[in-house]
Amino acid sequence: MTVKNITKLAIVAALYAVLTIFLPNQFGPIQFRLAEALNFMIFYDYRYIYALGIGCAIANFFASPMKLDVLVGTAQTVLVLFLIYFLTKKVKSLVAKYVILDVVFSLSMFFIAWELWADGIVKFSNLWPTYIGLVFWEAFVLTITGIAMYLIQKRKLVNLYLD
Amino acid sequence: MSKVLIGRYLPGDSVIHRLDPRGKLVFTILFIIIVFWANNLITYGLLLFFTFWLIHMSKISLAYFFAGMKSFIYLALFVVIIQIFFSDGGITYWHWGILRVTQMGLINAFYMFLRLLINLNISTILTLTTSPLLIADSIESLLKPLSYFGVPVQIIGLIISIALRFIPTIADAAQKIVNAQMARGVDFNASSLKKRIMNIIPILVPLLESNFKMADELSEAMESRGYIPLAKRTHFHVMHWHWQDSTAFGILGLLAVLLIILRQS
Repeated sequence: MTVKNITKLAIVAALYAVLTIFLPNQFGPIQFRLAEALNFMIFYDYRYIYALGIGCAIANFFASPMKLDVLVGTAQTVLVLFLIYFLTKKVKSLVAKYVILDVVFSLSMFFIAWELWADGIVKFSNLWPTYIGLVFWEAFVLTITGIAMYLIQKRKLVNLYLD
Repeated sequence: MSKVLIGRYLPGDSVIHRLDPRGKLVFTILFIIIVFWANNLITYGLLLFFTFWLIHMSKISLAYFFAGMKSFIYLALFVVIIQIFFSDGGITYWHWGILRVTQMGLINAFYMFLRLLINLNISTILTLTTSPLLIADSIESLLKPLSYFGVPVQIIGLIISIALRFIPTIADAAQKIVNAQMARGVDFNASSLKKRIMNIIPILVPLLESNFKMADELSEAMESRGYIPLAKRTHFHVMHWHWQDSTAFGILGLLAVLLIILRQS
């Protein structure tokens, strides 16, 4: 890996952490993570998954009062993004890739719902309503930010590729 | 945005400051695990007393801890309200439809608030007494066994340290971009969904572009100083394990034993 790629990945990790630490409603049963917009960068280079994992771990470690978030949240981000990367490897349409990420990542919020239960934030009887709420908000955020990221790439406003 | 929690390292000469950062990191992780063992007033009280004792030992003003609680208070309130109105058990004091206030609901809400407060305090102690670079070095050091399985631990450590170093810079840059766009008339409270989507673009584009430019400049500076990825290198800060670090773990072990004895079976 080149030095340029290392610094680019580090800056993306920092960006994820900044957007998560400083914006409101980033943790808990109702979360609205604008930083998830960066998840779409995996379609331009899969190595962004490492950056997003590190950014997520930093944000959860320093800002989340639920410390299981560091382990479960980070593992969910890394594993699900790798799964999405392999699922979309042979998909040619970028729009289809974006939709798959939106759907799969939103559905994977079960891990977060489980973590909230394990952390004692929600009761077992509220696990499914919490999961449905998390899926709804995640899908909402990913749809909005996904359209924005798609337009950014389509209009070639930023070069998201690594060397 | 400049009030960065992780950029709030306060240099000092307390016992906590002097502990090996690797030990502090592992201590924090183990402490967070044993917090789950608390299940009554005595055990939660013991853990809360312990965190305040650590704050006292760190010689850091309580004001810093209260400042860090501002972001936590909304989540804590939400959790407490959920626990109060949706928990069953014990005497029912009030109920209306699916909402009810019960004895167990109030107790659970109080315990949950204490657990969040204890977790927040312990991670704040770590961040206020350990520089971000030392935290990154510790993570790299702790991950070292993974290098035998081909994991590029050194690169991961470097990414973490650069990320931690640039969080305050990026936070300030993001604030400037938001202010600049607002001055140009971007309405972030637009009611239509289309407008909201279009409003994200003028934030994301300069944010990504300026940060990627910063990454390029940083890589050029590193390369010009002869940085080669994966080359064998030494560290500016050499970490040493002292008897105080072993004592800290002895105290943690004692705390864990007390929790096991005092918790309700």
